[in-house]
Amino acid sequence: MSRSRMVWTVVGVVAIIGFVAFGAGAFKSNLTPYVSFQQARATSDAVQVAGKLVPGSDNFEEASSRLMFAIQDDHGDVLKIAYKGLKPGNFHEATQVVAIGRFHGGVLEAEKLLVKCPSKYQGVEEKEYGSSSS
Amino acid sequence: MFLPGAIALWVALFALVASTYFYFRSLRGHAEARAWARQAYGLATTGAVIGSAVLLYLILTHDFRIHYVFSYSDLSLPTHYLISTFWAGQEGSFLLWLLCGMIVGLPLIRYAQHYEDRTLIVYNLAQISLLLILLRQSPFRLLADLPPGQVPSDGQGLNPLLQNPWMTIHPPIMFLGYAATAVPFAFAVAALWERRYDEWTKAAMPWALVTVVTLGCAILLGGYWAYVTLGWGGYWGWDPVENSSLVPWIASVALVHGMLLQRARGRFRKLNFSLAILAYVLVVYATFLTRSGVLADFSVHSFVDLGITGWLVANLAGALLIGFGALAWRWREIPTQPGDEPFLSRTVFFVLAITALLGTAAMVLLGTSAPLITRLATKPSQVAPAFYNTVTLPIGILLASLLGVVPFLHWKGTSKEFAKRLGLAGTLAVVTSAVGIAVGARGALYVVFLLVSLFAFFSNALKTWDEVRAKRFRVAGGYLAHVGLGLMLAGIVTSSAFDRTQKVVLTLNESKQVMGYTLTFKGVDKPTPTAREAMLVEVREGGGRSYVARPRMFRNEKSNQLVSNPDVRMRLTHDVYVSPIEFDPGRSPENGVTVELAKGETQKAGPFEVTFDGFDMSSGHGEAQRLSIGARLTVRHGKNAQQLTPYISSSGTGFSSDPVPLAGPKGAAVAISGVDAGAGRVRIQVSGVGGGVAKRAVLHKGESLTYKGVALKFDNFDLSDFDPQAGKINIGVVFKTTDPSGKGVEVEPVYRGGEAGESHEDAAVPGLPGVMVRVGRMNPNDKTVEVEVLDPSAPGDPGEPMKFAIDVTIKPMIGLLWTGLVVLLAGGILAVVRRGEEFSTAVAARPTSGA
Repeated sequence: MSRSRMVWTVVGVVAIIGFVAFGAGAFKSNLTPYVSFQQARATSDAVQVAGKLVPGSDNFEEASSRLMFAIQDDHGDVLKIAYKGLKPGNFHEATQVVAIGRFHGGVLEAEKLLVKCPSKYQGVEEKEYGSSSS
Repeated sequence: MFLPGAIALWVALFALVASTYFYFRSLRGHAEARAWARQAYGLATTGAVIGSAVLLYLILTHDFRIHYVFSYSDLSLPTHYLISTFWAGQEGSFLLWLLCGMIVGLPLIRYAQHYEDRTLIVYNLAQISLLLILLRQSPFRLLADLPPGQVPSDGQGLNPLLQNPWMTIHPPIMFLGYAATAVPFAFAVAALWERRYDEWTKAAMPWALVTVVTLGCAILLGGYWAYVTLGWGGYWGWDPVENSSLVPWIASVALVHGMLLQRARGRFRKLNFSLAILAYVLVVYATFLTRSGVLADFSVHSFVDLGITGWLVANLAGALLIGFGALAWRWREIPTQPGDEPFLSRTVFFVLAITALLGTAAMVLLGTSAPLITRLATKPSQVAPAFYNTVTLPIGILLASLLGVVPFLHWKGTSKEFAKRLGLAGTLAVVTSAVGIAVGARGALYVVFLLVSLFAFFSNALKTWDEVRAKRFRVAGGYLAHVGLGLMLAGIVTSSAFDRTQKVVLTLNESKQVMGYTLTFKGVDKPTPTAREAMLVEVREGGGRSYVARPRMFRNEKSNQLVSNPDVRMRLTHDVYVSPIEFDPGRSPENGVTVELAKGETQKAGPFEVTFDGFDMSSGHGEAQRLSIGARLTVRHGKNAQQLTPYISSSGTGFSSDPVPLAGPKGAAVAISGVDAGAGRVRIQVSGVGGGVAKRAVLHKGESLTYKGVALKFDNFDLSDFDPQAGKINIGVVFKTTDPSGKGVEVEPVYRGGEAGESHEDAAVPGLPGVMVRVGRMNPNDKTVEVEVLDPSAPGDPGEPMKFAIDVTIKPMIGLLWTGLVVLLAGGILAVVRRGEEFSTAVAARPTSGA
């Protein structure tokens, strides 16, 4: 291989490795694992929580234009959630609500909501909603 | 199992196995076996066609014995949605995929030439793998646990989100694209097998382009669908199902460019084999991800685990084994040569572009597979959408830059006009980007992305122009496609990175200023009884122009699902996107006067004089199965007299009374609140004329409410007409009181509710003319009832106005995206035509060859 070829190949390999490292870093920092409510409150990372919707807890807060509601996990812990997007279709019939977001100011600011409800369609059907992405 | 359909599929399976066997024999030298193989394939195709026709027939005739028909269709669907239920569920979509695959195979046989035997063997195996899944989970299986002789009267219906014109075209195009990826795969394996490593790219190229065009089209249609229907304001959510059609598409794009590279430079064979095999493997992997249930917790699209996971894994293993196995087998034999092109050459830039494309695909695949990957190490989790945006932005910038430079590069160096053309394109890009910054573009990386996208647009546009001027139309296809791509990239960054959004709550008839627009909520419009309600929002724009936006928010009765549709108004430079968030119907004013009239009688109700002229029994009014009675009234106000006929209709589950507006005081209306046809009396309520709720209290049994000296004691409920099974929710509340003469009297206001709506039958309070008592909410747990005393002389209750919360977004230049899409498709189709013609002329020139 000619000299300039070798140089370019090395540059290319370095660039690829650099990009892969960049991608891996972005991957890790964007992972949203399922955590307990306690863990969600303790961190400012994006996390995923799941729980049963507390009936009657949902209301639309006009001032901040957010849907506020609360979910309860199996241990009885209750977490307040604020969501800026559209109220999901089957919200009130949900057996489980999954929220992805960061905990801030006493509530979990959800970017995405996943609503699981018993459905007439095959099995349990999930509906996922996100606020306007980038 | 519904036999005719199942038999058709079994026949297809056996025919495909036979076809494969005969092709093997043809390979061994038995010349006549090929004819048998083709006939068997034809038989298999017939089986697939018949099977599909049977399923369609079952759907169209509403045969609810079949599990699939029951689960996804119902009697109320219009024909075009009914047809689209064919692919609404797992089994049907696999059948559609098989059908596309079988049909694609027909021209494949014709054009495969000396590759035919081996290619079709591999291709048949791919179709067999689909058939095995279909036979495992058959679209024709009957509903389980069905008592003999009983057929459900109606199906469960189609998910309301899918009841959309896009549902009729997006999936078929998608599956055609999926089916087409198997062709280059088959060619690649056949070429490796036969050890003829060169000509296969020419044969496979048109198919690879078909995949690029159809998958690309399907992906963008899906995005457009989401944009105009779903209301979250986007067209791409990085959802696993979206990603798993994007990744094979990227691989196919890389393959097309790799094939061009191989044809021009005679090298890169290993690359193209890898890409062709990869594209198909990725389709199979994508199917596995979305249909096995491994992503069930993480995606809105993915079907639930239906027991075919094992088959999907087996498919994946098979594809990997056959594809990469063949490649590994022949790896050392495949000729390779080193290259000698300079850096600034199309060759090198193609390699860079392919690398960048694969890098994108790898990142998207990584993110989509995150739940699987993390499951191995810790708990399964997914990645936030920000991951994809972070990672694709730099690659996007690189790709757009390459896209802009390449048109003026030759395979071995730069073209004559390289510097001039690129200088021009660059200047135009800088100028337009500066305009963009002036009107609101912001963020360093986003502006750079905009700049290079525009650069790619101008550069390819100039090249297309050059080619068209030289009358080389067919070459122009590729460049035209890239023009479209440049526009799309620019449109993507302007509409997402530079958008402005604001949430606002609009009260009825009050205007608000939002981002330069004046918005007024005008009410709710329901043009026909069966239409979905639309909220009317008047939007007045800066230049004086105005339009009425009609976003919708309604509840689908069958699934009890709240569905909303946005209103998207397209202007030249931006879209105005209005998306419903919340609707509060408010409370209507509680001010009304109730009078009871006999035929011919006149009474005063507020400022009006009402005369009851008679009943109108013509039941032509109203919808089917509703019994309507009208009351003809003459209403006098001052010097004006109005004749009108409000109706009350009952449908067996309750009744509803439609108020008719009155001329005169604003908001006045008259409605029937009760009818006694036997005695010829009617109770009329005039609302909106002042007077209202004078007193409100919540009473337990035995408690009393006193108003103006008259005591009303809550005695008991009257549930004589209460039958929830029949839908009759009529609850009477008995009050004990005394009339002016001291005698004990019972009055009984009634609350009537049910499916048709609710109404109040108020009772007159003895001794206080015009004063009525009404019952509101009842609490069966505490055994309380809310009681209201309505007095025409009391100040009116203004009620609460309707409110509508919306999200308003301005999306700049999103028109570029859709325009770019059209241009991209035009260029792509042009390119397919060119490559197809090229191949058939090459075929015609070639002497017919044997195995």
